Amino acid sequence: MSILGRPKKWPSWSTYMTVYVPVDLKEELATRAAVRHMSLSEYTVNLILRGLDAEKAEEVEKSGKAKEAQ
Amino acid sequence: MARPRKLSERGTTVSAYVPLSLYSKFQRLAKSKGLTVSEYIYRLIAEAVQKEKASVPAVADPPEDVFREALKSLEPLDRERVLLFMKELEEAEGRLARLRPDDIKLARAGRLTSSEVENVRKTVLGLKHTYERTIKRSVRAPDVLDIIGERLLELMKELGVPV
Repeated sequence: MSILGRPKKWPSWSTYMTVYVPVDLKEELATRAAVRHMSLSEYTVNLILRGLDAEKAEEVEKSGKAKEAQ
Repeated sequence: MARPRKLSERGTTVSAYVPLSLYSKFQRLAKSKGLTVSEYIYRLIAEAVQKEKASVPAVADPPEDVFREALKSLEPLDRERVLLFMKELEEAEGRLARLRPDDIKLARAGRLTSSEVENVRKTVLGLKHTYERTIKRSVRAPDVLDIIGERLLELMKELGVPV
């Protein structure tokens, strides 16, 4: 809990990150976030984490294939 | 000489609140790929959105087992509510498909042309209210909510219904 009583969104130290994106994409993100009743920031972080997971999965798959080829 | 634009189309910024440890991780990963953090994150977001969009056709016509599995986790009353809602959603989709493309274009721009468009729009507004007041409050399965939410969002977009 913070001094004001509002629970912290993240328990550890946090920061703001700014990403430069096309206007269309931002509008799309805002719509999708609204449908899920989330803030744009929360939805964006979710997407980023999902993208990161997908990237990791791809790398694992690639390394697996490379090992099989060897 | 003017600096070349980073994006060919109009650009803007999106801010996200993240733990410092995660931000450091992004910095490291972006550096290893020779990109700025913003460029790297933009790629991640664009890919994730594409994947989400790609899953929409599967959502629009979900494989029986995926949807059935998701429904299994619900209480019987909620399951009935969802099935009824899906039936109404499908009917609205069918009515939308029968509208003239020009009418849909005008509706998307917020201009109504015929009583039929107005009727479908009213139905979708009703569905939106049901989703927000009943389905979203009682159904606690994120998978089911995602499937229904995506389909409803598509309908709302087509008819220019505000989110």
